Amino acid sequence: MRLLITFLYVFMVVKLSLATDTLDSDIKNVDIDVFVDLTSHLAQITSTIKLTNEGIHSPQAFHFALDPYISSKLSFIGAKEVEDDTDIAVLNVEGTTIDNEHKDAKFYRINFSKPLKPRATITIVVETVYSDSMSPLPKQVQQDDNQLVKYTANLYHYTPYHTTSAVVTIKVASKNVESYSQIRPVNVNEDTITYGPFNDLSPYKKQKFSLHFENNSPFLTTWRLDRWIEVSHWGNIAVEEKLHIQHTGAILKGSFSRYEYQKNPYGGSPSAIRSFRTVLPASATDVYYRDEIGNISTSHLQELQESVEVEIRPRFPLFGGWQTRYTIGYNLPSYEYLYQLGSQYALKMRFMDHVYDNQFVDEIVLSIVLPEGSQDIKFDPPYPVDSESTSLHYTYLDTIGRPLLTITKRNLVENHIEDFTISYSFNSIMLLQEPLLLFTAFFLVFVVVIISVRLDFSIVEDQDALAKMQLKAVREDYCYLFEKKLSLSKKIITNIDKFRANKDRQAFKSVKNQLETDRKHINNKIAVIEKENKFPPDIASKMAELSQKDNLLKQNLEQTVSLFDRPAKISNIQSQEDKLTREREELTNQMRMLLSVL
Amino acid sequence: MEKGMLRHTSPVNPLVYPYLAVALTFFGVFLLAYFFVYEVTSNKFTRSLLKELMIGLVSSVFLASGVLFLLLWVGIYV
Repeated sequence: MRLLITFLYVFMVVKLSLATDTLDSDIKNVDIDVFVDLTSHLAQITSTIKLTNEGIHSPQAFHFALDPYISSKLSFIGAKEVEDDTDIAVLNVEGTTIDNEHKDAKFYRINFSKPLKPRATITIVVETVYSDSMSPLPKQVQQDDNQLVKYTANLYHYTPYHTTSAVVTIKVASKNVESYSQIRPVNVNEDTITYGPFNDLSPYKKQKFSLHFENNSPFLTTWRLDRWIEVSHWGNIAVEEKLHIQHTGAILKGSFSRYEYQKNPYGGSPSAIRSFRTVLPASATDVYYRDEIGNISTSHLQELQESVEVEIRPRFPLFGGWQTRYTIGYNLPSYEYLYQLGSQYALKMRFMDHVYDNQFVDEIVLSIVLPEGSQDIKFDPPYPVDSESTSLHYTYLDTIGRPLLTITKRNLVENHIEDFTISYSFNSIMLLQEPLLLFTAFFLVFVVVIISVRLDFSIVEDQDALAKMQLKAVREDYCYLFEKKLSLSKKIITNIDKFRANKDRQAFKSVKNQLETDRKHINNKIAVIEKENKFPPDIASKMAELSQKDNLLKQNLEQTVSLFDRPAKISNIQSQEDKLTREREELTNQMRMLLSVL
Repeated sequence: MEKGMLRHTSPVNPLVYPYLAVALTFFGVFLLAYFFVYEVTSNKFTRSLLKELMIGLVSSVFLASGVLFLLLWVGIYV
């Protein structure tokens, strides 16, 4: 029994793995409803496919085919499973090839969320977006002409399975439909053309059809979008986008008349693009919009509840074939997009952001600059990218360079606005590198000054100047010592007050002795200075005066001490104290005056 | 992205960058001025290396942090 189960299991696995690249002929299309949206410059096709399984196995996936005519124009494909008009699951779509089948067709394998049981039906919605599928006809128009385009495609849904019933509904940009292929049954209602229902279509059935209609919607192509994201751990993410945009509709015939253009600002020049809206994230600040010349002032910024909208109005209207290059940038707070766990960081941002509605970007170059010292960088794209490379970028206060990740991808539309994640590790200590760099630079300046003032380039030694300098130094020392003495006298007074309060004679005596020793010490130093140096007479006299005052101050202090440091009380102690204090203050002031002169 | 990751915030609130830039740079420049006044008023007998180095050190610390916040304030996110 177990052997049988194992055998069955192995058989099924083999069968399934084979089924990835072989068609399951048991699958049938019950009902196909194709909606073609041609209201913009992109063909957005929504195919609602109802499948049934007429076999006995339960396939995991089915195949979606694109006919060779249109497969090269495909920009986006996505599939989801629906039931009663509600989405159940987003399905995985993978490009594949099928042996012995139409070699020029392109196949996609769409995996079901769960295997399709025999006799069961499932509804899958496949969304495809094609760029460059409408060509202007005539190729050139005049300034005031409407733009007409021609759309040619396969009318029937190109499928490897048998189809029971199919309907194609096409919505065009305007009521003005010049012509459309007469394939019956067909029904035209204003801007909607319905073909079908068609019954019992064989696999890969083709029927070319074309539409010629007015389409004045902006035919904008972004040839190149350079998206630059700079992450700073000081709380900011700077985004800058450089764009090269061209009007790829019908080319302007003849010269541009500014007069005609201005005369009728709303009705004239229907195919010209005056402005378009770019939607930025709600937290975007410091938005700028400029080109090579500088700021473009004809733009408007509108802060909405959930986004910031910029009305991009180039310096000139864009007519067919005209192009513009500009830069748009803004700052984002890091807490919106940067996540942290210990030293692990993750940045989750949009791979491509909104440029204009129904955008088509031929090539995007996404550059992500991470803080200096980031390691173990892992990039996780939302969809496969064309190329990925790492290098170093040097900007303000960099030493080893910041890691720069460059990713390119071609052929993107609005459906590609999805988040990428980049994770890396970063040691927070590295944040201190920039302040340290600045500190070193400033300190170096100080050191250079300190060294340069010590350099002496004089050829002849000027003895006079030297002597003067030396004298200045000595005088400074001298003054410093006297200042110290003054502070000692102040200390004695405060200690007298303390003694009067607590009557601790022992403590006071020891402090007094200590201060007296200090004073003697200073006196010795002063004596040395006076002995070793010769002073000019005017200075010498001032010095003599200073030491005389100092002696008087000493006497005054001794008297003050003796006034309180005695056992018996004196009658007129208050008046004596006042007198001494007055005298002391006067002496101190006089000494200070002398010191400032010296 | 790993589970349990928290939103990253700046070590210093970006709202106080202007105040920090002005206050720290001001004090740094004040010490710088004091340093140069000291250098020109002293001569080779009077100047003290330790004092010069200390003023230079403290001034550099304040100038460096002040200039860093100044850069952040004006939008150069280093």
